[in-house]
Amino acid sequence: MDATPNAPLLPQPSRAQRLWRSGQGVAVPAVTLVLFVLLWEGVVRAFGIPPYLLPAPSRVATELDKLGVQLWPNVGATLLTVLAGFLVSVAVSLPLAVVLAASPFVARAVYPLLLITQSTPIVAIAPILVVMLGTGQLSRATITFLIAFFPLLVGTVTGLLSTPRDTVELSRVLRTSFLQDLWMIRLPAAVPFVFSGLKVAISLSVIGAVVAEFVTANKGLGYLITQSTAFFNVPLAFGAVILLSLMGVTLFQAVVLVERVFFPWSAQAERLARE
Amino acid sequence: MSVAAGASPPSLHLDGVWQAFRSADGSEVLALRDFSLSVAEGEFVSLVGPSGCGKSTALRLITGLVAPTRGTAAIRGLPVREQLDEVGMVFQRATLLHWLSIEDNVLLPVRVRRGRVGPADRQRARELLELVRLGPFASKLPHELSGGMQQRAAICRALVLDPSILLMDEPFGALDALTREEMCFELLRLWSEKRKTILFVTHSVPEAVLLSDRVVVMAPRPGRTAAVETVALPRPRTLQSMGQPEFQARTQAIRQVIYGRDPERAAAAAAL
Repeated sequence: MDATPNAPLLPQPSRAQRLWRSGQGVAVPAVTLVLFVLLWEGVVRAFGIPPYLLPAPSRVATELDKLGVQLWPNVGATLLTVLAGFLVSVAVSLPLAVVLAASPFVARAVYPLLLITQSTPIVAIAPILVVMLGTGQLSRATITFLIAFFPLLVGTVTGLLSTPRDTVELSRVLRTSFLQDLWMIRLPAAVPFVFSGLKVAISLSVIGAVVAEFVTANKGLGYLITQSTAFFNVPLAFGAVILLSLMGVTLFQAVVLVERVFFPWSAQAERLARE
Repeated sequence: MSVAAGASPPSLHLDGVWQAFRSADGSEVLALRDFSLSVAEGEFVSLVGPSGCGKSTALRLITGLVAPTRGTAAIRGLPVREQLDEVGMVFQRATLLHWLSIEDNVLLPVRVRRGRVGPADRQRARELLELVRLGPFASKLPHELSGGMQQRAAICRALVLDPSILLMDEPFGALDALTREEMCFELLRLWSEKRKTILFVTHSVPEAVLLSDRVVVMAPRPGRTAAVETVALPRPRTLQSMGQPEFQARTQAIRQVIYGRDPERAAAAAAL
């Protein structure tokens, strides 16, 4: 039981074995993806499907290429809305979660309001918000925020309230102050919950940004979709959709990366919980 | 060892404590009725008894987390609320913070109390870990250690502020039987090196007898003292202690107090 740790007994896996193992995670899905695109291309060509119904991947690429440098301001505009909405969600949800978790009274008072905002389809109030807040970035960020913040808020509150009973008791015996309890014990314990919430929030932010751009925008990928479909340029709409998915995946992975780098024990806890 | 007479006040003193709680349905529940206990400096006392006999309530009184409804709780003659740093607490589960290394877990009370951790504190934490043979694991994370090792780290955490009293609430209850025995001897060894006053709550009669100078047997609803057994086994205690007549006699006596009123259960207990 008390042998010195770190003494390797098992043979180390060879370089090739390690490469194979680490490569599997990337290689297998990459191959699936390539096969899917080839199948898509093949089906469209074989059956001669017209591009306004289902464009082939090659056609989508051509349309995007035609747009050239004009593409980037659109990507940038959407990314800005996504990040603004996401950051506001974080800035609002985390402190609000602390307040809600600390005070059952405030929680009881505020929860009905929160539930109403979440039961209301944001798509339905988006046009009203545009009237109230104008047609600018503020409206788009607000719509994105309203769509994205709730899971993060709920996740964080749950995390703060699910500190194990005996850990709470430990904190009381140590006579931690409110801030010490929060900072040293409850928040770190809640980090896996916060990151679950962040992962949902970043995905919803992309959705929110597109909804916002459908309602009010003069550039952006969502705007590109409404504009191109209005002129039956379905290949370009497809291109915008693909870019949106890429953006969503990249942002999601960025959140995962932040968790792994700065909170390795949180990623670990999630892994252990899964096993 | 008996309660010290004379000038120095006992390490721990509960005097005529009544403890009432309001239960969820609004009725009043009496957790302790006229409970008194005096523990001398450096004495090892166990509280045994069935669930609901107020053992844990008694410990919580001493941590100052709850104030007695009636009666007094004092440490070295002063109210418990003025003696917070004199008490270290070990829970049933190790309750280590899984994102901190073992050493940082041990240092948690220092960080809470003083806001920062100095080299002297680190030195002290490492000495404690050496003492329970966890030296090589100081920089490991809790989940890399076995349950028994985690609980040893939790004991170090309770000792890091050098309290005079160690409260242990069924500390080995979550461990398997073998680890449990091992931990008993580990605790006895630690106690012989750092002479703390220990108040130990357990469900296990043999464990209480093996460890303690005195065993306080409690009866439930409302919690009160049913009997106090003094264990005259010589120290240091070893595996052989458990084979001695005194061990058998004390274990038997305590079981009879616990099961006594029920003839069937008493017979079952006698057969054990």
